[in-house]
Amino acid sequence: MSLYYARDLTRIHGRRTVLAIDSLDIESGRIHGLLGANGAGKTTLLNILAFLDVPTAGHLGFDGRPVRFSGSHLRRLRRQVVLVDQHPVAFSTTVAGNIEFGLKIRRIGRRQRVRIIDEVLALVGLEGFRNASARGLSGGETQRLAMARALAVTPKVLLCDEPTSSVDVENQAAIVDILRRINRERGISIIFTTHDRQLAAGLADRILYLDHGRLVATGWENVFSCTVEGHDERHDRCLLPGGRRLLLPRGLAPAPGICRLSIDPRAVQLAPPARETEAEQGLRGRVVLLTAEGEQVRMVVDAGIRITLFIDPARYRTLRPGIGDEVALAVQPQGICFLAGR
Amino acid sequence: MKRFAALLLLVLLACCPGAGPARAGGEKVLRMATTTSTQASGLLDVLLPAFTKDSGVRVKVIAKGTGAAIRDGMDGNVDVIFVHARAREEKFVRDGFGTRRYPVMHNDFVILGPASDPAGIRGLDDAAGALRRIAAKKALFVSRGDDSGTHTREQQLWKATGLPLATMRHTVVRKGGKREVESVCPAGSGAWYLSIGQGMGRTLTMADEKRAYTLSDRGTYIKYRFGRRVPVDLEVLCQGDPRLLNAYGIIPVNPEKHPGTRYDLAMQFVRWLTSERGQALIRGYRLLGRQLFYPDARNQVTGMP
Amino acid sequence: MNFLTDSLRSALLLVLSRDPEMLEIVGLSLKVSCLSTLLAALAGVPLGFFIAFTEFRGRRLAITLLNTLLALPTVVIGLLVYGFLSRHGLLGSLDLLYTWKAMVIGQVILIVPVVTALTIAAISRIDDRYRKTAMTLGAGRLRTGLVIFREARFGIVAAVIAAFGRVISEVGISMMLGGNIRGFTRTMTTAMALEYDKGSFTLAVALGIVLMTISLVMNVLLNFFQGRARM
Repeated sequence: MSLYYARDLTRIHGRRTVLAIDSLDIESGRIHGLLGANGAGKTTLLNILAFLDVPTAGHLGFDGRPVRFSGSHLRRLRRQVVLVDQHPVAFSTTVAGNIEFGLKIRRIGRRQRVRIIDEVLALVGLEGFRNASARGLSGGETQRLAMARALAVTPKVLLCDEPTSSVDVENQAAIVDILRRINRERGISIIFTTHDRQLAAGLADRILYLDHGRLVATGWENVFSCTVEGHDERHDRCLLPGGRRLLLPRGLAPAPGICRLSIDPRAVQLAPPARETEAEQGLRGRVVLLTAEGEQVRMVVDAGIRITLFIDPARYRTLRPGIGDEVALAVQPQGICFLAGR
Repeated sequence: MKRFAALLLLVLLACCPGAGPARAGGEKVLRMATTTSTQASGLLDVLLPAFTKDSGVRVKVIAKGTGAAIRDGMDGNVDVIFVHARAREEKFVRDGFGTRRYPVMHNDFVILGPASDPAGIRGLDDAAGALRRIAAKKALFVSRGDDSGTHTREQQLWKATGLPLATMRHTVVRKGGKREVESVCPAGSGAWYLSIGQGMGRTLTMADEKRAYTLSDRGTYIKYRFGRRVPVDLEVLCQGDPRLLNAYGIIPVNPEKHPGTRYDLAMQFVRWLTSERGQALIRGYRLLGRQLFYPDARNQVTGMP
Repeated sequence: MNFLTDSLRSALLLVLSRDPEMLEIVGLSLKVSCLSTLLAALAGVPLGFFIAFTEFRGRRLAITLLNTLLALPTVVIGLLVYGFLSRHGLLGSLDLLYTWKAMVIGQVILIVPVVTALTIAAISRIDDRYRKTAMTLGAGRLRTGLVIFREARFGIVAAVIAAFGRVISEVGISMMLGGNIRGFTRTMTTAMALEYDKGSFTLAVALGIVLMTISLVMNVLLNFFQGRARM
């Protein structure tokens, strides 16, 4: 079922277009990762999805119905969606008082409030902090408190802006674990932003890639900067980071210079071992990650750059690639796209 | 080190303007303390330029309430005082702060009030009687209450009414000894007796605003009544009582008490003021076409002191 | 040169003996100043809140105007209010001039900009994330406002204390609108000005000691709350 849909959504700050999304659909009950560099528009999109910001133009739907951008309507929608900031702030009261805030607004009785507070504190592992001053918590603890505060109001959607960027490794693991559990056990849809591919790949069911405010393509993760060197009769030559060369059919690349390039993971294939020599326009590298993802197997290959690709289970069973194995990759030219901007 | 400090002190003293001998070669400046009402009358603006022209002595005027003016004399801040509170002037001389009081001129006080005259004092020439009626009616009365000459006179009038009075006492420590300062006002005056502690002009405007009675010197009243675009709406309701006469005296500060003062310049001014020329200027002075001051001196200061 | 020691000694005597006239003056000062501060806080805090918290046309202009009003001399306010309250003025019939109420009116005008501007500053210091967090947890405008108010509370208390410090020590308005009437509108500052005119300094110095003590206490409180506000 569709949780959000957006059509021609734009957000303009002053003269700068920070968001321009042609079409976006987000499914209910799953974990979505919003991946992109700093300034790609992730936070803006998240704020709009949290109904805290309003698009300059376009259509947004939530829960199957179009969103009207009036104060009272947005306020009603906000009851079902909670955003956890990248650097959350705690109200200057106790930990319990922070969690109680949203509950009081929803007119939940005292006894039930106490029960919910205990429950969410246990969930985030802050049981001992119930009556502590919230201002005295560390960064990671504050992040967990913010999560508990958000979960207490049992939202339909939990939006997390860079949930792990400002906490230490120990807390990162704990937070990822909490997010997984609330998605699985409570069925809360989660949308989080990150610039960490590893986290996005590990946590998200589906990854959306934002680049300069545009949704590049669902699942496209392979975006690299490269240098177009020139061409011979048949090929354009492209130098990738790490010194690998990519040969493309003549006419695909722009004029020589530095540019950005994205490769659709579905357009990358493992070259069969027998035909390895023919993969001259392809790339070679070692397998570093293998995960089952829905119907497919996601594979990340370190070929100087980290390239993600999907292989179907049948092919996986025939080839049986293992982590550390060297493989050759064939890239179909139609999956390559040069991006605007640097 | 000690010698150096002494030297430094000497140099500082020499640099200090108005410090003893260093001043002798410069301009001759007489410092005079007087009352705000004297300055406000405009008389000094006629007298002082004439004196400076005749003698070459410039006069620096410090205008305050009578109390503060006398205090300046006691502290030796000035060379001469020119005030109008007879009893206090005589005490000033008796206590040795001044050499002698020379009568200069007089004008008079008037009791003012709104035209409606709620206490019915219009036309009375008995000031004490007028105040008795005001007290009986509990009609609003604004007192300067600033220890000025006018305030002093007002207190004398209240004493003359025979009404019960309340006395305020303050303990003041001076020169290590304690001293009591007194002021009186009608007993139980509560809400109708407004003691405001401010100058004559402010007292007049407040009496006007509050539709109250007040005691004023005639000069300030004329200025506020006839010299302003928005005149105070108060009328002279009681005048002519000898108790309302306001005599001005001038007293040089005793040089034995305060060696820094310029007794010579002070006496030069006293002689000039009581001379025929000074007295004629006083007689001829007109404020908005009205004579304000009547000369009192009878050429008693002819010889050298 | 005994002057200072004399005045100080007799002033201390007066303070220690709790002279009734002095106590009356101090009491009236505190009454008028507290009332002015209370009224100004009731007007200025919500106003500051409104300006800091809402977007409207002319908001910048309003803030500039407020900052200008901050520098308004007391005598200008005194003159303005005098013009209204005078017998010849618009509100002359109310007979308010030279009463403590007139002083309160003038003082409120003096410090409403102080309270408002400092409230705006206190609220602007509060991170926007508090607003966002409250809203995402479901708070409406009012509740969001209360959250910001709560977070800014020390800054706002500091604003009110600063305003009190301004009125307790101002002399222009008290003199022009109160008129320094003994027992009715004589405040610490006007009494000090009067006693100076009289040439007797005892009461003036005594009141100065009291006033400075009050200022000191106020400043200690102010420092405390500003310290808390920055935490």
